[in-house]
Amino acid sequence: MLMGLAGEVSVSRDRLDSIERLLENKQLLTRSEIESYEPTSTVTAERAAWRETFLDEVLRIVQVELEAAETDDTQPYEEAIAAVENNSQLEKED
Amino acid sequence: MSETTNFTDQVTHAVLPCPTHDEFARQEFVRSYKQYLVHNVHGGNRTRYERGVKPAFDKKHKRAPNNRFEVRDAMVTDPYYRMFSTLLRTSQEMMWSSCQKPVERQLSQLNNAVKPKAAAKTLGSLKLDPALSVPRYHTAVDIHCQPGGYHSEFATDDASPGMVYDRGVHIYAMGQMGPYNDDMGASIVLWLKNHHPSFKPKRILDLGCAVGHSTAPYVQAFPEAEVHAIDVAAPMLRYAHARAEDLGVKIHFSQQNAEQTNYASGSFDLIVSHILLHETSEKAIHNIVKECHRLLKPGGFMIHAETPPYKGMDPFDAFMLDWDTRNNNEPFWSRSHEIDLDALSEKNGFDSEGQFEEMIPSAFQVAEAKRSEVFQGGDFGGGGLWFVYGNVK
Repeated sequence: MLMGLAGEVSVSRDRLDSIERLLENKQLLTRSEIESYEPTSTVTAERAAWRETFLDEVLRIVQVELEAAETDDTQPYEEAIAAVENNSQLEKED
Repeated sequence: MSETTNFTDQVTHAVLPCPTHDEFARQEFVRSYKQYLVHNVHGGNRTRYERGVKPAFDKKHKRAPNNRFEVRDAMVTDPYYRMFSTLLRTSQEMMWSSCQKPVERQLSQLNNAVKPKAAAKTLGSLKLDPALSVPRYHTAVDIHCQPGGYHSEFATDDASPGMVYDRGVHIYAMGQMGPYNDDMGASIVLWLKNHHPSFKPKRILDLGCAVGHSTAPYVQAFPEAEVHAIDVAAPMLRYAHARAEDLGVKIHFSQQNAEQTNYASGSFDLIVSHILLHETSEKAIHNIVKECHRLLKPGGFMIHAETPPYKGMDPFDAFMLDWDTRNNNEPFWSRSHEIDLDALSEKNGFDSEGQFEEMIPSAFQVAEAKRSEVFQGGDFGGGGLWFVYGNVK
Protein backbone atom coordinates (compact mmCIF):
# COMPACT_ATOMS: atom_id res chain seq x y z
CA MET A 1 0.00 0.00 0.00
CA LEU A 2 2.77 2.35 0.99
CA MET A 3 4.74 1.60 -2.16
CA GLY A 4 1.62 2.22 -4.25
CA LEU A 5 1.31 5.58 -2.56
CA ALA A 6 5.02 6.28 -3.10
CA GLY A 7 4.49 5.55 -6.76
CA GLU A 8 1.62 8.01 -7.09
CA VAL A 9 3.64 10.70 -5.28
CA SER A 10 6.38 10.09 -7.81
CA VAL A 11 3.89 10.49 -10.65
CA SER A 12 2.67 13.81 -9.22
CA ARG A 13 6.23 14.92 -8.88
CA ASP A 14 7.00 14.12 -12.53
CA ARG A 15 3.92 16.02 -13.62
CA LEU A 16 4.95 19.04 -11.58
CA ASP A 17 8.42 18.78 -13.03
CA SER A 18 6.93 18.82 -16.54
CA ILE A 19 4.90 21.92 -15.72
CA GLU A 20 7.96 23.71 -14.33
CA ARG A 21 10.02 22.91 -17.41
CA LEU A 22 7.29 24.00 -19.80
CA LEU A 23 6.78 27.26 -17.92
CA GLU A 24 10.49 27.89 -18.07
CA ASN A 25 10.62 27.11 -21.77
CA LYS A 26 7.84 29.59 -22.37
CA GLN A 27 9.73 32.09 -20.22
CA LEU A 28 6.84 32.56 -17.84
CA LEU A 29 8.61 31.34 -14.72
CA THR A 30 12.03 29.92 -13.90
CA ARG A 31 12.79 27.01 -11.60
CA SER A 32 15.26 29.14 -9.69
CA GLU A 33 12.36 31.50 -8.91
CA ILE A 34 10.55 28.54 -7.42
CA GLU A 35 13.66 27.46 -5.50
CA SER A 36 14.13 30.90 -4.03
CA TYR A 37 10.47 31.65 -3.41
CA GLU A 38 10.08 33.00 0.11
CA PRO A 39 6.57 32.73 1.46
CA THR A 40 5.22 35.73 3.34
CA SER A 41 3.83 35.09 6.81
CA THR A 42 0.33 35.17 5.30
CA VAL A 43 1.29 32.44 2.86
CA THR A 44 3.00 30.46 5.63
CA ALA A 45 -0.15 30.68 7.70
CA GLU A 46 -2.33 29.61 4.77
CA ARG A 47 -0.08 26.64 4.10
CA ALA A 48 -0.13 25.66 7.77
CA ALA A 49 -3.93 25.79 7.73
CA TRP A 50 -4.00 23.62 4.59
CA ARG A 51 -1.69 21.12 6.23
CA GLU A 52 -3.98 20.88 9.21
CA THR A 53 -6.90 19.99 6.94
CA PHE A 54 -4.64 17.58 5.09
CA LEU A 55 -3.64 15.88 8.32
CA ASP A 56 -7.31 15.72 9.33
CA GLU A 57 -7.83 13.61 6.22
CA VAL A 58 -4.74 11.45 6.61
CA LEU A 59 -5.26 10.89 10.32
CA ARG A 60 -9.05 10.66 10.14
CA ILE A 61 -8.93 7.33 11.92
CA VAL A 62 -7.54 9.05 15.01
CA GLN A 63 -10.62 11.26 15.19
CA VAL A 64 -12.84 8.22 14.69
CA GLU A 65 -11.16 6.49 17.62
CA LEU A 66 -11.42 9.58 19.75
CA GLU A 67 -15.12 10.08 19.02
CA ALA A 68 -15.73 6.47 19.95
CA ALA A 69 -13.90 6.97 23.22
CA GLU A 70 -15.76 10.19 24.00
CA THR A 71 -19.17 8.66 23.38
CA ASP A 72 -18.39 5.30 24.97
CA ASP A 73 -19.10 3.76 21.57
CA THR A 74 -16.47 1.13 22.03
CA GLN A 75 -18.27 -2.15 21.67
CA PRO A 76 -16.75 -4.26 18.94
CA TYR A 77 -18.88 -4.55 15.82
CA GLU A 78 -18.76 -8.31 16.20
CA GLU A 79 -21.12 -7.98 19.13
CA ALA A 80 -23.77 -6.47 16.86
CA ILE A 81 -23.38 -9.36 14.42
CA ALA A 82 -23.58 -11.85 17.25
CA ALA A 83 -26.70 -10.12 18.55
CA VAL A 84 -28.38 -10.37 15.14
CA GLU A 85 -27.35 -14.00 14.67
CA ASN A 86 -28.73 -14.82 18.07
CA ASN A 87 -32.05 -13.23 17.13
CA SER A 88 -31.76 -10.98 20.10
CA GLN A 89 -32.81 -7.47 21.09
CA LEU A 90 -31.16 -5.84 18.10
CA GLU A 91 -33.69 -7.22 15.65
CA LYS A 92 -36.62 -6.61 17.95
CA GLU A 93 -35.85 -2.92 18.04
CA ASP A 94 -36.60 -2.57 14.30
CA MET B 1 -10.79 21.32 17.87
CA SER B 2 -7.97 23.11 16.14
CA GLU B 3 -6.51 26.30 17.44
CA THR B 4 -5.09 29.13 15.43
CA THR B 5 -1.62 28.09 14.48
CA ASN B 6 0.79 30.86 15.14
CA PHE B 7 4.05 30.24 13.43
CA THR B 8 7.04 32.35 14.20
CA ASP B 9 9.78 31.97 11.69
CA GLN B 10 13.22 31.16 12.97
CA VAL B 11 15.63 34.06 12.65
CA THR B 12 18.31 33.09 10.18
CA HIS B 13 21.97 33.82 10.65
CA ALA B 14 25.14 33.10 8.74
CA VAL B 15 25.64 29.55 10.00
CA LEU B 16 22.05 28.33 10.17
CA PRO B 17 21.78 25.82 7.33
CA CYS B 18 19.74 27.23 4.45
CA PRO B 19 17.23 24.65 3.17
CA THR B 20 16.14 24.27 -0.43
CA HIS B 21 12.50 24.90 -1.27
CA ASP B 22 11.60 21.27 -0.79
CA GLU B 23 13.81 20.71 2.28
CA PHE B 24 12.01 23.60 3.94
CA ALA B 25 8.65 22.17 2.88
CA ARG B 26 9.62 18.87 4.52
CA GLN B 27 10.52 20.64 7.76
CA GLU B 28 7.30 22.62 7.70
CA PHE B 29 5.38 19.39 7.27
CA VAL B 30 7.01 18.04 10.43
CA ARG B 31 6.10 21.22 12.30
CA SER B 32 2.48 20.94 11.19
CA TYR B 33 2.47 17.26 12.06
CA LYS B 34 3.73 17.94 15.57
CA GLN B 35 1.22 20.76 16.06
CA TYR B 36 -1.51 18.41 14.89
CA LEU B 37 -0.50 15.84 17.49
CA VAL B 38 -0.60 18.44 20.23
CA HIS B 39 -3.99 19.87 19.33
CA ASN B 40 -5.85 16.90 17.88
CA VAL B 41 -4.37 13.66 19.15
CA HIS B 42 -2.62 14.08 22.50
CA GLY B 43 -5.80 14.92 24.43
CA GLY B 44 -7.41 11.67 23.32
CA ASN B 45 -5.13 9.75 25.65
CA ARG B 46 -6.79 11.33 28.65
CA THR B 47 -10.20 10.54 27.21
CA ARG B 48 -9.26 6.90 26.66
CA TYR B 49 -7.81 6.73 30.15
CA GLU B 50 -10.86 8.20 31.89
CA ARG B 51 -13.43 6.30 29.87
CA GLY B 52 -11.78 2.98 29.19
CA VAL B 53 -8.42 2.24 30.73
CA LYS B 54 -9.01 3.50 34.28
CA PRO B 55 -12.47 1.92 34.65
CA ALA B 56 -11.03 -1.39 33.48
CA PHE B 57 -8.25 -1.12 36.05
CA ASP B 58 -10.75 -0.22 38.74
CA LYS B 59 -12.89 -3.20 37.87
CA LYS B 60 -9.88 -5.51 38.15
CA HIS B 61 -8.16 -4.06 41.21
CA LYS B 62 -11.08 -2.38 43.00
CA ARG B 63 -9.15 0.91 43.05
CA ALA B 64 -7.68 3.53 40.77
CA PRO B 65 -4.02 3.30 39.71
CA ASN B 66 -1.77 4.48 42.52
CA ASN B 67 1.15 5.81 40.55
CA ARG B 68 2.48 6.43 37.05
CA PHE B 69 3.88 2.89 36.79
CA GLU B 70 0.45 1.37 37.22
CA VAL B 71 -1.00 3.88 34.75
CA ARG B 72 1.71 2.88 32.33
CA ASP B 73 1.07 -0.86 32.65
CA ALA B 74 -2.57 -0.19 31.85
CA MET B 75 -2.02 2.31 29.04
CA VAL B 76 0.70 0.58 27.04
CA THR B 77 -1.74 -2.02 25.73
CA ASP B 78 -4.34 0.58 24.76
CA PRO B 79 -4.52 0.86 20.96
CA TYR B 80 -5.15 4.61 20.99
CA TYR B 81 -2.14 5.31 23.16
CA ARG B 82 -0.01 3.00 21.06
CA MET B 83 -1.09 4.86 17.92
CA PHE B 84 -0.35 8.23 19.54
CA SER B 85 3.02 7.00 20.72
CA THR B 86 3.97 5.66 17.29
CA LEU B 87 2.87 8.88 15.61
CA LEU B 88 4.91 10.95 18.05
CA ARG B 89 8.02 8.82 17.74
CA THR B 90 7.70 8.97 13.95
CA SER B 91 7.49 12.76 14.12
CA GLN B 92 10.75 12.81 16.09
CA GLU B 93 12.58 10.69 13.55
CA MET B 94 11.17 12.71 10.65
CA MET B 95 12.17 15.91 12.39
CA TRP B 96 15.83 14.97 12.75
CA SER B 97 15.93 13.59 9.24
CA SER B 98 14.47 16.81 7.82
CA CYS B 99 17.10 18.84 9.68
CA GLN B 100 19.99 16.63 8.61
CA LYS B 101 19.37 16.87 4.87
CA PRO B 102 20.30 20.55 4.37
CA VAL B 103 23.36 20.03 6.58
CA GLU B 104 24.60 16.94 4.74
CA ARG B 105 24.19 18.70 1.43
CA GLN B 106 26.41 21.63 2.40
CA LEU B 107 28.61 20.16 5.12
CA SER B 108 32.00 21.44 4.04
CA GLN B 109 30.71 24.96 3.23
CA LEU B 110 28.94 25.17 6.58
CA ASN B 111 31.93 23.87 8.51
CA ASN B 112 34.02 26.48 6.72
CA ALA B 113 31.60 29.23 7.70
CA VAL B 114 31.77 28.08 11.32
CA LYS B 115 35.56 28.29 11.55
CA PRO B 116 36.47 30.80 14.26
CA LYS B 117 37.93 34.11 13.17
CA ALA B 118 41.17 35.56 14.55
CA ALA B 119 40.88 36.53 18.19
CA ALA B 120 41.20 40.24 17.43
CA LYS B 121 38.06 40.11 15.29
CA THR B 122 35.80 38.26 17.70
CA LEU B 123 33.41 39.53 20.35
CA GLY B 124 33.43 36.45 22.53
CA SER B 125 35.72 33.43 22.57
CA LEU B 126 35.90 29.69 22.06
CA LYS B 127 38.17 27.33 23.97
CA LEU B 128 38.03 23.63 23.15
CA ASP B 129 39.68 20.84 25.11
CA PRO B 130 40.38 17.74 23.01
CA ALA B 131 41.52 15.93 26.16
CA LEU B 132 38.11 16.20 27.81
CA SER B 133 36.35 12.87 27.68
CA VAL B 134 32.70 12.87 26.72
CA PRO B 135 30.73 11.31 29.58
CA ARG B 136 28.99 7.99 29.14
CA TYR B 137 25.61 9.62 29.66
CA HIS B 138 26.20 11.30 26.30
CA THR B 139 27.70 8.44 24.36
CA ALA B 140 25.42 5.63 25.54
CA VAL B 141 22.47 6.60 23.34
CA ASP B 142 21.59 8.99 20.53
CA ILE B 143 20.11 11.48 22.91
CA HIS B 144 16.49 12.51 22.05
CA CYS B 145 16.91 10.44 18.87
CA GLN B 146 19.31 12.93 17.30
CA PRO B 147 21.59 10.70 15.20
CA GLY B 148 25.05 10.85 16.78
CA GLY B 149 23.81 12.98 19.64
CA TYR B 150 25.69 16.14 20.56
CA HIS B 151 29.23 14.86 20.45
CA SER B 152 29.68 12.92 17.19
CA GLU B 153 31.90 14.38 14.51
CA PHE B 154 31.36 13.53 10.84
CA ALA B 155 34.22 15.64 9.48
CA THR B 156 37.33 17.36 10.82
CA ASP B 157 36.39 20.22 13.16
CA ASP B 158 32.79 19.32 12.64
CA ALA B 159 29.93 21.50 13.87
CA SER B 160 27.11 19.58 12.20
CA PRO B 161 25.42 18.40 15.44
CA GLY B 162 24.97 22.08 16.30
CA MET B 163 23.63 22.88 12.84
CA VAL B 164 21.11 20.06 13.04
CA TYR B 165 20.16 20.95 16.62
CA ASP B 166 19.58 24.69 16.02
CA ARG B 167 16.93 23.99 13.38
CA GLY B 168 15.66 20.88 15.17
CA VAL B 169 14.95 22.71 18.40
CA HIS B 170 12.87 25.31 16.55
CA ILE B 171 10.74 22.66 14.92
CA TYR B 172 10.53 20.59 18.11
CA ALA B 173 9.22 23.57 20.04
CA MET B 174 6.97 24.45 17.08
CA GLY B 175 8.25 27.99 17.24
CA GLN B 176 7.03 28.38 20.82
CA MET B 177 10.50 29.13 22.14
CA GLY B 178 10.60 32.24 19.98
CA PRO B 179 12.46 33.12 16.78
CA TYR B 180 15.82 32.72 18.55
CA ASN B 181 14.83 29.56 20.48
CA ASP B 182 15.75 31.54 23.57
CA ASP B 183 12.62 31.25 25.68
CA MET B 184 14.15 29.31 28.56
CA GLY B 185 16.87 31.90 29.16
CA ALA B 186 14.46 34.75 28.49
CA SER B 187 11.98 33.30 31.02
CA ILE B 188 14.59 33.08 33.77
CA VAL B 189 15.66 36.64 32.97
CA LEU B 190 12.03 37.78 33.20
CA TRP B 191 11.62 35.97 36.53
CA LEU B 192 14.79 37.57 37.91
CA LYS B 193 13.61 41.02 36.83
CA ASN B 194 10.25 40.47 38.54
CA HIS B 195 11.49 38.79 41.73
CA HIS B 196 15.00 40.13 42.20
CA PRO B 197 14.96 43.44 40.31
CA SER B 198 18.06 44.76 42.03
CA PHE B 199 20.14 41.65 41.30
CA LYS B 200 22.84 42.67 38.84
CA PRO B 201 25.15 39.70 38.26
CA LYS B 202 28.63 40.53 37.03
CA ARG B 203 29.69 37.06 35.99
CA ILE B 204 27.23 34.52 34.61
CA LEU B 205 27.73 30.87 33.68
CA ASP B 206 25.41 28.75 31.51
CA LEU B 207 25.91 25.01 32.03
CA GLY B 208 25.36 22.61 29.12
CA CYS B 209 24.79 25.50 26.73
CA ALA B 210 24.48 23.43 23.51
CA VAL B 211 24.21 26.07 20.73
CA GLY B 212 23.97 28.98 23.15
CA HIS B 213 20.35 29.70 22.33
CA SER B 214 19.40 30.14 25.99
CA THR B 215 22.60 31.99 26.85
CA ALA B 216 22.02 35.06 24.70
CA PRO B 217 19.18 36.55 26.83
CA TYR B 218 21.56 36.95 29.78
CA VAL B 219 23.99 38.95 27.65
CA GLN B 220 21.15 41.19 26.50
CA ALA B 221 19.62 41.57 29.98
CA PHE B 222 22.89 42.20 31.83
CA PRO B 223 25.12 44.09 29.39
CA GLU B 224 27.68 44.83 32.11
CA ALA B 225 28.17 41.15 32.89
CA GLU B 226 30.75 38.72 31.56
CA VAL B 227 28.90 35.68 30.26
CA HIS B 228 30.44 32.22 30.06
CA ALA B 229 28.92 29.06 28.66
CA ILE B 230 30.17 25.49 28.76
CA ASP B 231 29.34 22.15 27.21
CA VAL B 232 31.13 18.81 26.90
CA ALA B 233 30.47 18.60 23.16
CA ALA B 234 32.96 20.31 20.85
CA PRO B 235 30.71 20.30 17.75
CA MET B 236 27.99 22.20 19.64
CA LEU B 237 30.49 24.76 20.93
CA ARG B 238 32.02 25.40 17.51
CA TYR B 239 28.57 26.15 16.17
CA ALA B 240 27.51 28.12 19.26
CA HIS B 241 30.48 30.46 18.96
CA ALA B 242 29.90 31.13 15.26
CA ARG B 243 26.19 31.67 15.89
CA ALA B 244 26.78 34.11 18.75
CA GLU B 245 29.36 36.05 16.74
CA ASP B 246 26.98 36.40 13.82
CA LEU B 247 24.16 37.54 16.10
CA GLY B 248 26.49 40.04 17.79
CA VAL B 249 26.20 38.42 21.22
CA LYS B 250 29.37 38.30 23.36
CA ILE B 251 29.77 34.91 25.04
CA HIS B 252 32.86 33.03 26.19
CA PHE B 253 32.38 29.40 25.25
CA SER B 254 34.57 26.59 26.58
CA GLN B 255 34.53 22.83 26.49
CA GLN B 256 34.09 21.73 30.09
CA ASN B 257 32.09 19.27 32.14
CA ALA B 258 29.69 21.02 34.53
CA GLU B 259 30.48 18.36 37.15
CA GLN B 260 33.98 19.73 37.49
CA THR B 261 35.06 22.93 35.79
CA ASN B 262 38.37 24.74 35.86
CA TYR B 263 36.90 28.07 37.00
CA ALA B 264 38.05 29.54 40.30
CA SER B 265 35.94 29.11 43.42
CA GLY B 266 33.49 31.91 44.10
CA SER B 267 33.90 33.40 40.65
CA PHE B 268 30.29 33.61 39.47
CA ASP B 269 27.21 35.29 40.88
CA LEU B 270 24.68 33.62 38.60
CA ILE B 271 24.83 30.04 37.32
CA VAL B 272 22.05 28.72 35.12
CA SER B 273 21.11 25.66 33.15
CA HIS B 274 18.29 24.96 30.71
CA ILE B 275 16.90 21.43 30.35
CA LEU B 276 20.31 20.10 31.30
CA LEU B 277 19.36 18.07 34.32
CA HIS B 278 17.18 15.49 32.56
CA GLU B 279 20.02 14.60 30.19
CA THR B 280 22.45 13.55 32.81
CA SER B 281 22.77 10.94 35.54
CA GLU B 282 21.69 11.45 39.14
CA LYS B 283 25.28 11.20 40.27
CA ALA B 284 26.26 13.86 37.75
CA ILE B 285 23.40 16.13 38.88
CA HIS B 286 24.73 16.01 42.44
CA ASN B 287 28.22 16.80 41.19
CA ILE B 288 26.86 19.68 39.15
CA VAL B 289 25.05 21.22 42.13
CA LYS B 290 28.14 20.75 44.27
CA GLU B 291 30.20 22.50 41.60
CA CYS B 292 27.64 25.31 41.47
CA HIS B 293 28.11 25.83 45.19
CA ARG B 294 31.85 26.01 44.78
CA LEU B 295 31.67 28.43 41.89
CA LEU B 296 29.14 30.84 43.39
CA LYS B 297 30.01 33.95 45.34
CA PRO B 298 28.09 34.38 48.60
CA GLY B 299 24.63 35.66 47.68
CA GLY B 300 24.92 34.21 44.19
CA PHE B 301 22.06 32.30 42.56
CA MET B 302 21.91 29.01 40.79
CA ILE B 303 18.78 28.46 38.69
CA HIS B 304 18.03 25.31 36.72
CA ALA B 305 15.14 25.36 34.25
CA GLU B 306 13.44 22.07 33.47
CA THR B 307 10.17 20.41 32.70
CA PRO B 308 8.16 19.97 35.90
CA PRO B 309 9.00 17.25 38.46
CA TYR B 310 6.51 14.45 39.00
CA LYS B 311 6.06 15.23 42.69
CA GLY B 312 2.44 16.17 43.33
CA MET B 313 1.44 15.45 39.76
CA ASP B 314 -1.59 13.37 38.90
CA PRO B 315 -0.28 9.85 38.02
CA PHE B 316 -1.74 10.08 34.52
CA ASP B 317 -0.06 13.43 33.83
CA ALA B 318 3.23 12.10 35.18
CA PHE B 319 2.88 9.05 32.94
CA MET B 320 2.29 11.21 29.85
CA LEU B 321 5.20 13.51 30.69
CA ASP B 322 7.36 10.42 31.06
CA TRP B 323 6.87 9.42 27.41
CA ASP B 324 10.36 10.59 26.54
CA THR B 325 12.10 8.17 28.88
CA ARG B 326 11.08 5.08 26.97
CA ASN B 327 10.26 6.48 23.55
CA ASN B 328 12.61 9.36 22.84
CA ASN B 329 16.04 8.12 23.96
CA GLU B 330 15.97 10.11 27.19
CA PRO B 331 17.09 7.41 29.62
CA PHE B 332 17.67 9.83 32.51
CA TRP B 333 14.36 11.66 32.18
CA SER B 334 12.39 9.49 34.59
CA ARG B 335 14.87 9.57 37.45
CA SER B 336 15.68 13.25 37.02
CA HIS B 337 12.00 14.14 37.39
CA GLU B 338 11.88 12.40 40.74
CA ILE B 339 15.16 13.52 42.18
CA ASP B 340 14.95 14.69 45.77
CA LEU B 341 15.57 18.41 45.34
CA ASP B 342 15.92 19.05 49.08
CA ALA B 343 18.62 16.41 49.36
CA LEU B 344 20.22 17.82 46.22
CA SER B 345 20.62 21.18 47.91
CA GLU B 346 21.55 19.94 51.37
CA LYS B 347 24.11 17.33 50.32
CA ASN B 348 25.96 19.83 48.19
CA GLY B 349 26.48 22.75 50.47
CA PHE B 350 23.28 24.71 49.97
CA ASP B 351 20.81 25.66 52.69
CA SER B 352 17.28 24.33 52.25
CA GLU B 353 16.03 27.79 53.27
CA GLY B 354 17.41 29.39 50.17
CA GLN B 355 15.86 26.76 47.93
CA PHE B 356 13.08 27.65 45.53
CA GLU B 357 10.96 25.53 43.19
CA GLU B 358 8.56 27.40 41.00
CA MET B 359 6.63 27.34 37.77
CA ILE B 360 7.64 30.49 35.95
CA PRO B 361 5.84 32.02 32.97
CA SER B 362 7.29 31.67 29.51
CA ALA B 363 8.63 35.04 28.39
CA PHE B 364 7.64 34.24 24.83
CA GLN B 365 4.07 33.39 25.81
CA VAL B 366 3.80 36.54 27.88
CA ALA B 367 4.95 38.61 24.92
CA GLU B 368 2.64 36.73 22.54
CA ALA B 369 -0.31 37.28 24.84
CA LYS B 370 0.43 40.97 24.78
CA ARG B 371 0.65 40.90 21.00
CA SER B 372 -2.34 38.75 20.19
CA GLU B 373 -4.30 38.87 23.44
CA VAL B 374 -4.53 35.10 23.20
CA PHE B 375 -2.62 32.70 25.43
CA GLN B 376 -1.12 30.17 23.06
CA GLY B 377 -0.75 26.69 24.50
CA GLY B 378 2.70 25.21 24.52
CA ASP B 379 3.69 21.67 23.73
CA PHE B 380 3.24 18.58 25.86
CA GLY B 381 5.01 19.49 29.02
CA GLY B 382 5.27 23.25 28.93
CA GLY B 383 1.96 24.92 28.36
CA GLY B 384 3.62 28.31 28.63
CA LEU B 385 5.47 27.61 31.86
CA TRP B 386 8.93 26.41 32.89
CA PHE B 387 9.87 24.78 36.14
CA VAL B 388 12.87 26.21 37.95
CA TYR B 389 14.80 24.75 40.84
CA GLY B 390 17.36 26.96 42.44
CA ASN B 391 19.14 28.14 45.50
CA VAL B 392 21.21 31.00 46.74
CA LYS B 393 24.58 30.66 48.36
